[in-house]
Amino acid sequence: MNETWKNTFDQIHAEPELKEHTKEYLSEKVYRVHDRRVSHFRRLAAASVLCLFLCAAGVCYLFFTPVTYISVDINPSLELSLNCFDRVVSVDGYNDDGKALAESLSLRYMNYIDALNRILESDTIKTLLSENNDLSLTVAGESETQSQEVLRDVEASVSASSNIHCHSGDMEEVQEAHSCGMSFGKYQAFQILQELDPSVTADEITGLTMHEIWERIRQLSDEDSGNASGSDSNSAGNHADCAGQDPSGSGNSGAGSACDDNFNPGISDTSGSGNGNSDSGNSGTGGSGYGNSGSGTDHQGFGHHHGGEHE
Amino acid sequence: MRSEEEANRAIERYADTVRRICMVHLKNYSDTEDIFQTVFLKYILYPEPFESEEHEKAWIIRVTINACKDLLKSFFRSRTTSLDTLKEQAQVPGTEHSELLDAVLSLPEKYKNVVYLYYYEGYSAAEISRILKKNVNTVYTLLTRARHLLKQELEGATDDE
Repeated sequence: MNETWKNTFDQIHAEPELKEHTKEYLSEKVYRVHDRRVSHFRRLAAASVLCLFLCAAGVCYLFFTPVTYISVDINPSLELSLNCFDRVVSVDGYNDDGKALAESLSLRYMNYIDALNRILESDTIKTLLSENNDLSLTVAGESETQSQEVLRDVEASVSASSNIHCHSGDMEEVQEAHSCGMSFGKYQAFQILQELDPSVTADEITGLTMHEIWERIRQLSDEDSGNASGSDSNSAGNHADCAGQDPSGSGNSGAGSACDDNFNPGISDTSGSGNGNSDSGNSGTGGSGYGNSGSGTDHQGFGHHHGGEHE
Repeated sequence: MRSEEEANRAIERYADTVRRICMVHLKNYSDTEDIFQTVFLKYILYPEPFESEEHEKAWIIRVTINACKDLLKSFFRSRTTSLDTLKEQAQVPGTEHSELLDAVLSLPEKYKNVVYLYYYEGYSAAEISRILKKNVNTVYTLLTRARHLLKQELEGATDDE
């Protein structure tokens, strides 16, 4: 009897496809759902890691992107790049002395005032300043408000020294200066000099100290005003105030424009002698007018014109 | 939760047992498939470990029988199937011992489990009472009645020949 039962029921087997279907069902309904949940979690984790990474990258980008530049020029010429958190992100020397100075001081990630103080307190700069060299600090930035603020702070921190001069510049000048391979404080002085003496090249300038550049500017403007017969009281004043865009000292306003007016008829040769009179008077008051918006050739023409008139 | 490997191993090991119980109770293949899915799903979701293989097998049988009962309950409420379907399904495995199988299949529901467990799986009445959660004496009674019915059925078939 038992044998019969065994034989009867032993014939019954689960069909292979039945087993397969069951396995498929389980893997689909249970295991893959579970996997999917895991992968969902993983995807979420990956996304949050990515977000974190992007945030970090953004902060890093902000931190390491210079937005404001302070150019320090005496003989060593160097430039501090500040990020939007007012920290120094890089220090670039634009001549050998400047490079040596930049390397000797570790200014990175310092607040710019601290960095500036450290530069001014360094032996090299101290010695140069005590030898009555002129130091110019030029501030330029993408953000007008930040650079104004920086300029104000810089002015406040160096107000004690009489031969430190502060200027402001703009980003265009910074870029042009960098393409010429000099700091833009020097570049501003170079532009002024070039207006007076167009034969001056960038290569010549890089070898000169700021003091020497200013000396030449002073000389040339003296010559100019001497030619024009007027006094040169303003030329020194211009330097002390540091021209650039500083409205008070520059020849851009008032006297400067008067020069321009006079000059134009000179070039076209249509003016009479009456022009000559007003001309000499104006140049006397306006000094050299090196802050004039006109180019170097203008000045050359200007000079010649004067000569002709006086003779 | 049990791993996929464990589930596959259990399917390989117990598929035949589950299939036989389904065969006894159910009439068509798709219901059997449902039972398979239910049983093995419960198996992988069952959190407690089994003491032994015997325990595991008894658990599978218990769950399968319950699943069949549940299906039949809803089955009768939702639809009816003619006896022909049952006969067709039952005759699938082979012809050699089909009289016995026919006889088992034609038994009333309440006798099928005890007959199967007692005669084929070889469980004792006490074990069956534990699996089916029935009184041992009830199992004995069911067995006696089932045996009587089977005898009638089988003798009738023999008489016909």
